[in-house]
Amino acid sequence: MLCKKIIVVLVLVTCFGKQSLAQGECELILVQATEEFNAGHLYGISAMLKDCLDKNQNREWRQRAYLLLAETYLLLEDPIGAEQSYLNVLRANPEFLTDQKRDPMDLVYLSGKFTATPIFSFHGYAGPNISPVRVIHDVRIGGEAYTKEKYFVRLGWQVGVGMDFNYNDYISASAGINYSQTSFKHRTTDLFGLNKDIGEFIDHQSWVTVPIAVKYCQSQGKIRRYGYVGYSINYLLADKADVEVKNRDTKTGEGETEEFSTFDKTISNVNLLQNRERMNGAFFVGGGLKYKYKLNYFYIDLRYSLGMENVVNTENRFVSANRGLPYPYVDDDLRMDNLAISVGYIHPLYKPRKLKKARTKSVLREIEKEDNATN
Amino acid sequence: MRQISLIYITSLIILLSCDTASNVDPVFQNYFVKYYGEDGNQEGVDLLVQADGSMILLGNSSSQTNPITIPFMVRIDPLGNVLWKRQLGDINETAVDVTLDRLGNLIVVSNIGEEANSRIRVFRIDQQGKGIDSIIIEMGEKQVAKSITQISDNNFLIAGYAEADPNINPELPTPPANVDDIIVLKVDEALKQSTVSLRQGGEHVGAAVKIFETVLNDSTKYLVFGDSDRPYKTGVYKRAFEVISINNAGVQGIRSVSGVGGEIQIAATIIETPASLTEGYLMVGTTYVQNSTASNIYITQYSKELDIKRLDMSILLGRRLEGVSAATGDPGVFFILANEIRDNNKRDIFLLKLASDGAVIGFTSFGTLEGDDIAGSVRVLADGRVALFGTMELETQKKMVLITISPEGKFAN
Repeated sequence: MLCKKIIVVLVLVTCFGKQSLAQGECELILVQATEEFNAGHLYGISAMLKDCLDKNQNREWRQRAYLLLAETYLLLEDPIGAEQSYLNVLRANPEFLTDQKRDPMDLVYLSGKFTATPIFSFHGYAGPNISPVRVIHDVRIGGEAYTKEKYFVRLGWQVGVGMDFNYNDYISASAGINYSQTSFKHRTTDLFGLNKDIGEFIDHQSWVTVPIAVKYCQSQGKIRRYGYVGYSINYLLADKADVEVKNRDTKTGEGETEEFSTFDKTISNVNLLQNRERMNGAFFVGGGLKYKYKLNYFYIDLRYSLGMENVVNTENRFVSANRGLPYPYVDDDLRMDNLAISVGYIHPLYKPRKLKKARTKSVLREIEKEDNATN
Repeated sequence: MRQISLIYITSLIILLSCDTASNVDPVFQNYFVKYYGEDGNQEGVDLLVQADGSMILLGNSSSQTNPITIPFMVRIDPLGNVLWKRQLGDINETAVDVTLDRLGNLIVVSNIGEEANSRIRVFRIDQQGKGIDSIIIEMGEKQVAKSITQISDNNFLIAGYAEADPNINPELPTPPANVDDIIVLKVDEALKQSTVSLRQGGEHVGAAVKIFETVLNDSTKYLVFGDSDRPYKTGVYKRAFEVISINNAGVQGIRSVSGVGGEIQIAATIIETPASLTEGYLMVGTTYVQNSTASNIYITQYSKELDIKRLDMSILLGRRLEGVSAATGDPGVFFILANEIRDNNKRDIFLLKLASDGAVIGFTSFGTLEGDDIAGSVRVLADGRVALFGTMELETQKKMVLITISPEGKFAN
């Protein structure tokens, strides 16, 4: 047993040792190749780097090596080689950007022909939400004018996944699928008399939604802001309610003071799916911050959805009286909004590629400016 | 630019498709379930629909801990909003019927005290709920009212029953015990005086349920509908629907009986039927199968002259039903409100729609699973909607309930 462990340790040490040694050698070779480049000895650079490039070096090394090769090919007036090398730079680091102050202008010009912007990005998220209710018509279960009704928000949660299609560095179209639990509370007071019965109705919904949005996002920086607008198709999977009735009757206490005797009752898990319009829609706006972590992002998102349609099935509003579940509550006509905070993770699918239409005009303008300044 | 326009137009369409108060039909204003009451329990018994669309809900209130009742009434607007509500009379009093007098005041009849010592009271109340006058009819015997009708001389006739007077029919064979006599009481318009118009003593048990004034053979008659076990053409005492005509002096004329042999029929309500259903009267009640828990709705439709019985039948639906109230609707249909007695002996409010020939068109029911929900009254509103009134036992209390539905039994147009 002990022998086996020793063998495993030796094998690991040998492997990592070799890799470490190989990386050290290649780093040395890259330094030598850079020195050759600086000395103007361009023709041997490709051959110097070839062996190391064939081995699987780390991203940072490959970025520097292919960048050196790209500059070399540019000077050797080998555009195909230069383009291929720059493409490999982007494969090593899809977020590599040239700098006009740091890099040679011809490299900057070359970079304008390429992009590594991800065409698609995938994301997943989760977080809490609340659902404010907007009443369309107030519908009352009693006839007294003094009966008061009030809605309260309650905490829900959501999880979802989605995919962005990046039209360019800034604009993208987003679609996804979201599962959410939402809830609200409706409180009726002064029912059947001033300071009398209280009815509390807590509604719990399960939704699956398909949001579609247009998104604008900053393309630079460790922390990037973004915003979006969109529309979601919402389908109600389940709707259950808890109803609590506090039946408060006045009785004469000692000393002829009036006090309340209460007869409370709670009914749980009342299925209200039949009372609801299951298909609904929402217009939403949102925004957030993306934090770049390596080549992916963490993000925090705030979204407000405006429910567009009446959640209540007006024809079935009172069917609970048919179904044997009467309680002193009736749904208003209402729209449900939703305020959601999510934290999520974005995984961009980078695709280094040559642009059909190169973005080199700005570079040319810079070159012209420099020429004018020199003259 | 085209893409921005497309986004703009799409957003506009989405926003315009938003449900708002202007495009969501407020169907709840016409079709609804509303509960009415105050402290304790309230049971609905009668519904009066007025010409302005407002409604009078008549019921009885009791506390959670004491079943003694006190009359309770509510006036609501056509949308079901309470205009006023109040208690009437005294404790241990039970309201049974509300109608209008010729001046538009509300006339309520109630029974005071326990059944064995019951007395009848009549209230006159204005449309704002303020009491105008009342009379307690004291004749030194048990009297129980079922309904009240104002006749053309402005007096009121009360249909009901009284403690049996063995002197009226000393030859009545017993057993069974002689329990009740049918009575019709007359109260003057000022609610000052009362007299007995009719006392029928040929039965062991019976009750006058409703009185209509009519003209038969060119003279004014009062048709007293109800039920009794007084024999008809045979010597058999069996409770069945009956109608008798009396003149102003209380002298009986025509008597007709309807029902089915081997069962007893107890009348609950009588309505006038319009020409679309052949002018006349519809009696609604319950037929009980003797020595059984089975019960069915029983209906009889008389012609205006009481000479033809268009309908005389049990409505067999395979349910335990007790007929309570009736109304007519267009085009030529009957609505029968009943109590459905479930296996746990609790009741549901049951609405039945019948064609003019008594064929069942449809039915629906309302009620709680565990509660005792009681039918009170059914009326057809001016726009054709059907209003059901009764009692719903909510989880912690009984409340008067008003349900308005379409003639098809739906909460929608």
